[in-house]
Amino acid sequence: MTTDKIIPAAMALMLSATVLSAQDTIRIASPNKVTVLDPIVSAAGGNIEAYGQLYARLLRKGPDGALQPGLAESWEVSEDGLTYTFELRDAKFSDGSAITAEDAAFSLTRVSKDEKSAYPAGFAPIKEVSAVDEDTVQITLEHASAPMLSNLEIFNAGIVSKADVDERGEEGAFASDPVTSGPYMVKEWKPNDRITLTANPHYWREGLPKIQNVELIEVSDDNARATMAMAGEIDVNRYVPWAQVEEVNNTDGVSVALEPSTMLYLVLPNHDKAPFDNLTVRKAAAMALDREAITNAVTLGKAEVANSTFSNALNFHDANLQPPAYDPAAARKLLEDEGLVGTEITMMITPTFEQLATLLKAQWDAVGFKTTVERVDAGLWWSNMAKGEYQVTVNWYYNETEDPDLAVRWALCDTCGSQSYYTNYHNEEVNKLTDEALRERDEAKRAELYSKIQQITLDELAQIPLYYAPFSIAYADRVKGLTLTPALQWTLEDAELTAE
Amino acid sequence: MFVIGVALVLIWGLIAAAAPLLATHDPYAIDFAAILKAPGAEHWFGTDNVGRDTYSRVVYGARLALYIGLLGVVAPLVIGMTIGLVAGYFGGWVDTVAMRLVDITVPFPFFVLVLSIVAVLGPGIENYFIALALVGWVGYARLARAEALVLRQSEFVLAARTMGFSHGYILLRHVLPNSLSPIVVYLMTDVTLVILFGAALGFLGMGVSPPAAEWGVMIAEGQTYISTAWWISFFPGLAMVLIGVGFALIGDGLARMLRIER
Repeated sequence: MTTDKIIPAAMALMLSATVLSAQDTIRIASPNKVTVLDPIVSAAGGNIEAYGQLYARLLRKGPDGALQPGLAESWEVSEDGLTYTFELRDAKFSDGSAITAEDAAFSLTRVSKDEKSAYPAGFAPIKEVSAVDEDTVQITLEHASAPMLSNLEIFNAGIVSKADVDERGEEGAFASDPVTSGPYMVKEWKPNDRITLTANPHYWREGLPKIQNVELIEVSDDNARATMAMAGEIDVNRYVPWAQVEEVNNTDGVSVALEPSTMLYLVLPNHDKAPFDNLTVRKAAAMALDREAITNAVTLGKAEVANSTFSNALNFHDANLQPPAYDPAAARKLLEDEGLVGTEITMMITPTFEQLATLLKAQWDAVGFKTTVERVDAGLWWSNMAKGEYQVTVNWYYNETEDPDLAVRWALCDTCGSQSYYTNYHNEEVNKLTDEALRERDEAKRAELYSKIQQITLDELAQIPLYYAPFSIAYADRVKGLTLTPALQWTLEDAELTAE
Repeated sequence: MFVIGVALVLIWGLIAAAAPLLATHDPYAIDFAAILKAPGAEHWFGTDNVGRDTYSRVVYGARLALYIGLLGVVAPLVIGMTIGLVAGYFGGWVDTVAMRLVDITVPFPFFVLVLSIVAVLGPGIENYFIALALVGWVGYARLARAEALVLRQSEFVLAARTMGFSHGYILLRHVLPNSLSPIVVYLMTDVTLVILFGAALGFLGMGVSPPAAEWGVMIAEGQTYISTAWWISFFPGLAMVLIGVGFALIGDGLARMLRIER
């Protein structure tokens, strides 16, 4: 063979190699940051999305949303609903060591009892988690909890290696290269830039994941992500602003999927402070809003107008409820009757809600409120919320599972840890119903209880629900089978990259 | 060129003065039925994401731009000239102290310094003015000092000294008027800069706050719509170019004329 034949042959080889490696890596750009790799210490979006790939749970969710066996092959629930017994399958961590009942007990005890656990609410009923033998783990509860199984599927219930944490300490084990049980492990992590994951060769689902490498790239600027997606520099754009959806869809090779989420955008009144401690004021504020027009203006018709204090993606969401209808004349009458015309209100917002705030202010002022908009950054927003130092604000929240228990605890129950999403909304009956519904194991009865909660909180306008927003995600055409579940989990292990 | 500059600035002055007459809509009126409308007969420059009329907002924005540009240079001008003239005229330790102060501010890029001061003080146009007063005087001070250094040796100043006039009188009546021309030229470029930086702060959310019809704020509001509703950002941007060019041309023209005079 002469040299002039070797070179083209070598080049062809090199070319095919680069093409192959490019097809082996999926690049996902997101405004959400990965800041920490320990699955229990954070409940922020960017971390949740990464945890899901690193740590497998006892159960997993199928494409239909139904619970399936995960690391646990089978499970049993005792008659009284107080004891859960899981049989683990023969699975291995990314370092090749076996995943034992002891690891599961260790991980679940951490998330439910450790002080550092950022989001233990779903595991509050747990009394004890223990390893019965090598591959049997038992969870005992203080009281029955209907959503226990589905809570064991969420992001922070991932199984971590006890041996590794014992050896390197918590700091060391999760610093940059944790031993993982999920479909991926960390290849390289550059904080504030990207985290590169590579397939875990010991993952229990054989032959999966099909995509070898995953890059989770942080790009905070919406326009920058859009440009990268259209130029083919990334395969997935985690968040496409509503205004860009049409444009992305008009670009070859990439399209936007609007995927169901449990995100609920809402007006949060502070029930501890005048004037929103007054139901008449809340009613007038709700009736002043043309929520349909607002939804269309902000989301360009991409979201659904909310009808309840529950997201429509939650189980037991009651589609028959309706908040007070848009009626500015009646709203003004309400204010006039109580001599409240001219009531000054201060709406605290973060800069992302500028447009929404402008619309709310216009409609509130039209019925006789005098609205001032106060702009704060996200850090100050949360601290003001926690201290109850605001009158009214807007934001959204989402729920980790389709079961509404955690959502109610977060947003409507004031004794459950977050003072009803820091609105200080207090209703003894709602609190009682929350507990009852948690323990009730009969589906129909639970539906009734949650219906009642929605009815009460809507009547009292615990919050003014605005709209149900889907995830708006752009995928390159070569990405097949990838979605983001309502629980913020990428279905990467079942996804594929096809050659164009 | 100078004439074009004067014309542009005059036109903007007129637009600002007659804004209520020229605007076709209330610049703050929200219209749910007209969200993101393209430029047309009803809305000449289109509408933004809450249905406000971009044309009317650009027209009203001229008021804010001129207000910021003209008011923002007053404090730096007064402070800078005072320090510069006194330093140059007296020399000695007064000069040394003043020039060290100048040296401290000069190494930092002007906008970075303004931005950090505003970041510390908090967003708002008042704080922008404070920041300008703190750092903007340096340019004027250097120019005024250079002029005063020459003028204090000039015959008419020496004559005035021998006739026993006080320093204050000489500074005000002789040194100040004769040092004005380079400062006026600089003033014109400074107005442009102050307007641009004011808009940049508005864009970054650290200047005039929404919903004000301020060009920087408007450009920021249109940012996510740049590919679908370009007009929201384009027209305030164009307005800013036209007002900036106006002042810059005046500055250039003045500089040329004064050089010829000398």
